[in-house]
Amino acid sequence: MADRTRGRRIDRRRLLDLLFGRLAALGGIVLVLTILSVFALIIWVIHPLVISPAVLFDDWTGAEFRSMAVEVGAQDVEAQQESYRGQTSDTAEGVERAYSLLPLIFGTLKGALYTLLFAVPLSVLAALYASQFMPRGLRERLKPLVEIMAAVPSVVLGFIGGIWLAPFLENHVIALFLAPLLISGVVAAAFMIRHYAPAWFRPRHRPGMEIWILSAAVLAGGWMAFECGAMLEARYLQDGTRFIDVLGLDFAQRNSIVVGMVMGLAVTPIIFTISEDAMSAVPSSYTAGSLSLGATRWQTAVRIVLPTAGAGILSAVMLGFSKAIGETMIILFVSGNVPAMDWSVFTGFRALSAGIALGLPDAGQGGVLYQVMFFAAFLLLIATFTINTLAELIRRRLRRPLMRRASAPSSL
Amino acid sequence: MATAREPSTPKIVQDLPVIDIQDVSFWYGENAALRNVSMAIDRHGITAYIGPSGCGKTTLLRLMNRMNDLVPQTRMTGSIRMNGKDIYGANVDVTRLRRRVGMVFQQPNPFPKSIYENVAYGPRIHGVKSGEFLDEIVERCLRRAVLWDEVQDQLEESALKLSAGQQQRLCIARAVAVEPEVLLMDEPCSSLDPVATSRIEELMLDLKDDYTIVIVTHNMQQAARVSDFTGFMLEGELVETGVTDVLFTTPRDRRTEDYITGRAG
Amino acid sequence: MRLKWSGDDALVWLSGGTLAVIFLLVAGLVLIIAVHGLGFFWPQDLTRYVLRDGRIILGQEMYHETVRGVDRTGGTTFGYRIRVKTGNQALYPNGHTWFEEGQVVARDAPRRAVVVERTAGGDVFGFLESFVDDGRIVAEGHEAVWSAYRERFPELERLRRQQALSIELSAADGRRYAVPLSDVLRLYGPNAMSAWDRIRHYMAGAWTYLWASPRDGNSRGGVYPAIFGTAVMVVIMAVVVMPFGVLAAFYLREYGRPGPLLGVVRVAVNSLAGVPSIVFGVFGLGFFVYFLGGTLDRVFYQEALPEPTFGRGGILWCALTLALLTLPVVIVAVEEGLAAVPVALREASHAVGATRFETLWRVVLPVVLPSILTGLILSVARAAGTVAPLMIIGVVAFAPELPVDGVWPFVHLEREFMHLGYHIFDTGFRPAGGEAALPMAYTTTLLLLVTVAVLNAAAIGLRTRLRRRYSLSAAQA
Repeated sequence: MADRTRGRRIDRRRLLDLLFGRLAALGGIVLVLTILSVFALIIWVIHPLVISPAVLFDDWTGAEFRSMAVEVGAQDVEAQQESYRGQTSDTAEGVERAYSLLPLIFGTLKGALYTLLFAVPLSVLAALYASQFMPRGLRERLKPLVEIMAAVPSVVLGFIGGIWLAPFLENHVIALFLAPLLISGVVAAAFMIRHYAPAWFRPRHRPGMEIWILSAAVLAGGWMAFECGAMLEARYLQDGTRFIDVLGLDFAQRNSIVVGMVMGLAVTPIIFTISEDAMSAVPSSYTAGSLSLGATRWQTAVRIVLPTAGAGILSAVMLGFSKAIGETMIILFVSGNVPAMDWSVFTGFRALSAGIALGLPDAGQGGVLYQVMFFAAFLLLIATFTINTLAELIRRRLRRPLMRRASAPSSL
Repeated sequence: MATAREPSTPKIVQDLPVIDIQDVSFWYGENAALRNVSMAIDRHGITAYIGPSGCGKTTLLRLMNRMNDLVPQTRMTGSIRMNGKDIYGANVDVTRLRRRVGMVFQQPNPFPKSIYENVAYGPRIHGVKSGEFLDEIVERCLRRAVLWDEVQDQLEESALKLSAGQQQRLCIARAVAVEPEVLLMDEPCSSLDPVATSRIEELMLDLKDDYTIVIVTHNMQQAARVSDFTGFMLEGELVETGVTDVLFTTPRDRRTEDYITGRAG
Repeated sequence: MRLKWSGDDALVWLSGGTLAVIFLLVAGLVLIIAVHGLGFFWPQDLTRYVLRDGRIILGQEMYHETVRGVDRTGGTTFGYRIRVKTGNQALYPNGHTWFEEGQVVARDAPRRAVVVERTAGGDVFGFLESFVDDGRIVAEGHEAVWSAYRERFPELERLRRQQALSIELSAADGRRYAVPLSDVLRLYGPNAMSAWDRIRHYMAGAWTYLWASPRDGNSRGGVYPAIFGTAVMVVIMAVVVMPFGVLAAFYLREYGRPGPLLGVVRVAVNSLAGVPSIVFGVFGLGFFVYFLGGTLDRVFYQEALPEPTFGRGGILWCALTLALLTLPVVIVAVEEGLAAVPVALREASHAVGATRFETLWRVVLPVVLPSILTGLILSVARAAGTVAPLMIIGVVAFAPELPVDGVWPFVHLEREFMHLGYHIFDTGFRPAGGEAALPMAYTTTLLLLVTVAVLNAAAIGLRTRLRRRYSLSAAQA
């Protein structure tokens, strides 16, 4: 009797074990099915387009495209309403030619490019500083901050970028271009003061104090940029004209500079975190070897750390690029959503993601616009998938030589 | 700015020691790593420091080219002079000091670059730009490290592909390339097999004509084989120093005797 | 030599400067959101401006901007252009006006000036003149009208239905303007308020914001439906995503045998994490709304067709889509927890004859519970802040009904709903109420930002504690 119950108990235990194993596997399979069905559904929706792909990449003329143009924004409600009329008329014959995705693809690339132009130098240099020159304790406290920064919803960044930053920068174009110069100048000056000041003037050196001095210097530089900008405008420009009017360029308030800055801030945590990891993983024996040869800290960082962590940094930049391509809310708010095709930093654009967000709610199920929007999503999916996979492969390649170093061979 | 182009010719005063350590104490935070260490290191000889692990010999070595500057929260008293000048003085350029006091580490640590670039790295950061001159330096230094014959056909290949012994000789070549006066070696053979070890030892004996070598080792036989002077350290103190043969045959201190006869440590 | 060394160190400082730039930019933007968002409830003083051209304007200063001018000698002069919110849209088009600072002859802050918040049509500023009941003047003068209003205030809700009562105000320039009491939400005189009154007013405003419905094209009132909608959607999402996420993590770390399937699942997690949020929206629309929802409609809601029930955007489909989006977040968090469980712990359990499931259930699960919680918090934070996919599957700027209410079956999964993030987008991007809606959009932005930041900080704190606890035991193992 006792034996029988024990036998049954063991059976039940084994069964439970087996069942849970299957359940867990089911979880994994659902995951695989999800990603497969994302691909499958999108391909299924867009397959009719393959027969007439001309719809997607047809030549477009400005006149035709204007029906789809959306200059949406707080200040331009009328144009926006007009554009909605344009978009909803996808049942009408002949509007189809307006669905060219070329400007949207162009816009996506333009946005991502300016984002990287802003974000890559900033975040890679910041990561270099954090990994090589920052006291460990401070760096550990920095990481959660970066993580929270990464979690800031893009709608928040988009809102503040579109509503506050864009009008602000419109009035401070000169200051914007002065800022990098003046900030570098003030930081360098702060360094000189600190380095060459007589000993009694120098405050006690405490690890981590550098970053506070730097922050103060950056603030001072930024403030000077705005003051100088205002002064220059007052001195050389006539009443009411802005610097951008003098340049005679097309200028949209929601332009690529704002996109680069705001979306740059959105991708900075990604690039920063991954490249900081890669740089911190550079074995200290490399840096010690370089320093022992009489290299300075900076020479060591640039000639040893950067190349060694190169693959990691590259993959970080690629992941940032992929995020910039897929980003929607920021683009909606700050890009202006005009399907223009030029590289000017002072004009906006319309990207695939924002095009989908604005176009799909008005597209009826199964219509041409519906299919075109799915095709746009397909492009985004393929692009991000390819880039992410490549980035992952590159990151793995990086690890290999470092791993080999860790287990040093001992044969002759 | 001095470059590798003009061989550095410091005013050599033969009777002055190259490095003169006077009453040096050193702390990591609250832990004393060195206590009142004093010793003079003679020119063109091999000085070895022996002692059990954690006795402070590596710390002492790293004080000589100020590599310990990089460790936060440390404190030092006493002075270390090189050719009569305090290397911890206010106006000392650390990079210049390190160029004159080269270092070879416990684990071979070639950079993840080509063999050529590894040797050329030092001269490059000190301003050598000419390709021909670099080629010349690389060949000379690789020959000096007795590595040239083995690698002359694969200069552009990654240094990480070499064996550990070759990597360590490459590191010596790399250190020699900036023409230092002193070579510090921190247990250079601890990760090598006996054959590779003996080649490094031969190399050291060969190099001592041109360089002053300071070596830290936990291997007493190695110290006995290669060094001219030996210092025995224990728990942060320099217990005994002397000519190697004398120290190993007739140690004056009881603790030294216990250690070299294997009774302690 | 010495110069070169220090020059190199200057470059170190410049690289540190980039770090400072990043953080100062973010801090600056957050500060701007905070200042604008928190200032929304503060009762702003009413200022009376007397202009050179004889105009008298009463209003709240919105901002002033610098304008440059050229004086007679050709030099430049600076001046301010003041933008004032005038309210009274019937008297002043757009409800605001602007003038050069130089035009101002005199300005003061009359203590008797009042603000009337209305249910529709924006605020009215002015001076209380008379209280009218059915064409009959009941009270006249500031004090009398005020007390008449205070008397009736407790029963304002009931009186609101009576059209006969109204308050007559005079604008700064003397023009009369009547506000029916049925339109009045709140009446207050900011200039006469003490600091304590202002704080009370602020609190009341914040309370209304959290618990009331929006009015006036989302420019006034509260965001309660948006908070509620976001919360309900996030709860549904969490209920769906947690079991799948935890199971998948267990499969990846515990049950999966090394082989092609495990590799494929691993690749799937990585790819899923990289899919842009808008693509999830497209998938949600095509799969959940049109395919699943359409099928449900054909099977269960035949009688309602062609009007779709589930075959259009709704809260359930949004929740499911976001569940897919946050699945990798949960998996990564739980996996990290599982990786931290010391091998010795598992081996000990296996050594006494426990099966894998028993080990998992009794030994591993209690240890990874905080990690599961971390995954939950992170996924909730992510879902609360994601807007793009929702825009195309069921979020609306104004939903008349809540997704959960007292009408059977109480939970209405097919309903469209309001969402905090979309509320920001809608008020900021295509404001129906013009710029008047922006102050409230700032407040909503701040609310969302704080919520997400607090959730993330909590998750990070939890994880750090966990790591510290197990780094010790792992070191011993």
